[in-house]
Amino acid sequence: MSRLQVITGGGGNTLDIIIPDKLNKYKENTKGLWLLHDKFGTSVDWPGFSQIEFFAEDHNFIIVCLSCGDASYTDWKDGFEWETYLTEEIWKYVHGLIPMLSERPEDNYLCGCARGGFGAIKFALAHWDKFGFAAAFSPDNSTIKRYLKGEEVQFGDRMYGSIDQAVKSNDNLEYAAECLAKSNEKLPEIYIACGFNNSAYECSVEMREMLFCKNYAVIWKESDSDGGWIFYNEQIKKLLDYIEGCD
Amino acid sequence: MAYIRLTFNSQHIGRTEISIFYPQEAHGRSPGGRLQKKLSITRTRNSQTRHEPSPVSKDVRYQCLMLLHGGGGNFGDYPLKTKLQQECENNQLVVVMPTMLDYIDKSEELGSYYEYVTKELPEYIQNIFPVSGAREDNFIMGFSYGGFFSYYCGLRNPEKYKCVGCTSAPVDIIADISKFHYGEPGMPVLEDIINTDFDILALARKHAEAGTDLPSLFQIVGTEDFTWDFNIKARDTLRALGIDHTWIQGSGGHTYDFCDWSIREFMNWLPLKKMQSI
Repeated sequence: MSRLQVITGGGGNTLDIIIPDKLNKYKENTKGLWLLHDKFGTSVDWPGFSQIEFFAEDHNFIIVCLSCGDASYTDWKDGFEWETYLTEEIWKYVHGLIPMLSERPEDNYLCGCARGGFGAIKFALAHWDKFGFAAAFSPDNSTIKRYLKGEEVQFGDRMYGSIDQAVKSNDNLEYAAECLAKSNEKLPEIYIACGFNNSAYECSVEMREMLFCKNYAVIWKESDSDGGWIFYNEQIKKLLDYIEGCD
Repeated sequence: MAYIRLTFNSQHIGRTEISIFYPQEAHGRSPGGRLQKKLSITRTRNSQTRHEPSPVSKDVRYQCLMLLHGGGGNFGDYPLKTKLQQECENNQLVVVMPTMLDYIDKSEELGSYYEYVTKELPEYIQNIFPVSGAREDNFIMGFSYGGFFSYYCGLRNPEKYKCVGCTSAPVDIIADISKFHYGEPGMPVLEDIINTDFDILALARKHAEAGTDLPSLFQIVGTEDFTWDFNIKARDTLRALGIDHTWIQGSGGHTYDFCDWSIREFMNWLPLKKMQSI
């Protein structure tokens, strides 16, 4: 297994890219798995806190770990455009850097933990032409939920602009799911895993039900875990096995 | 310029680290550019906003320089001790800087750095990144023992490299070992390497007699460098053989300051292509 730690320079940030040894030879349209960290994280979270490098050896993905700081994978009204940066600029950059990585949505999978889980589902709904699958472990969309209820308004205004703007934004997963469901586009597959002792459980169930109602294919996995990196580590292994039909 | 730290599982030398300078303006895109403040606009969902395939041909490949550090160093030497990053960006050149723990190529314990540098690592780089495998696009250069090893690799594989360079290097390795390292543990037995491929000047002589199509050679050294005499003798020998050889000397010693300047000279000398930008 080789690992590339990329500092993109010029005002950009970091990427960690994991390539199993079996993919050292050029193979067109190699599948990609894009990993999103929780809040306050960086691209080293997944390699540092999980065994993803070890698990990846048994699979056929190039794994791209993104960095998004504490920006909730969002284009901030009063801040930086993280969603656009990651889904357009970094998308193009990574495909230019590693030409064998497929650009087809059916070959590009998202997976995130907690806030990254929210980010994964959001990116799959809003960027269906790039990603065909999103997995979320204990997804956390609490920031926008609180804002839409009129809580933490000052902070929310900085992120979303106004409640009206937030309602009709990619961050409002129900709105994003509805818009995509009404289009003629292929819907991404959504995979949600959560422990029923985890604080995100109720939120995860709400997401599941919302997506079911809009005819999304949702794979639901629950366990008695409290969450955290032991849980995410277990789940990423199960996810890789699931995607490649090994489970 | 992007900096990449590559952790790699080599079949020859085990797990190792490599620094890579990768041009920022990859194929005309501006990857990793500044994060911009703009209003967030929900995208319309219709087929006209479908992602278009990359506008740049995937046939565009970068030229590549394999840059070897001196004895006792590692993959961090060039990034930390030189200002080459900007030079590489200006030249749109991919620069690969592996950790080198051995230049002798005879250590069973350390594995074959020769196989790793000349075959395994370039193949990986060319498979993963948009880097050319053509001879005209590949160069190798090194500082001190890294420079000796560059000549060793370049002259043993003349078909792989367009240009080979060294700075502050004991090209005349026989003289270097004889004067400074005779009988040292870990160094080859002098009598075992005379007139072998390890003996760079003997190898060059062999090629000259065979009329081999050799890479262009570049040799640079500081006037205060302790390898000065070895470099002069090597220069004169290579010139006498009629090999395409460029010599540059400057004021300086066996330091990374001098190395920094000399690698810029080398890059200015290389036949670099201007990358097409879209």
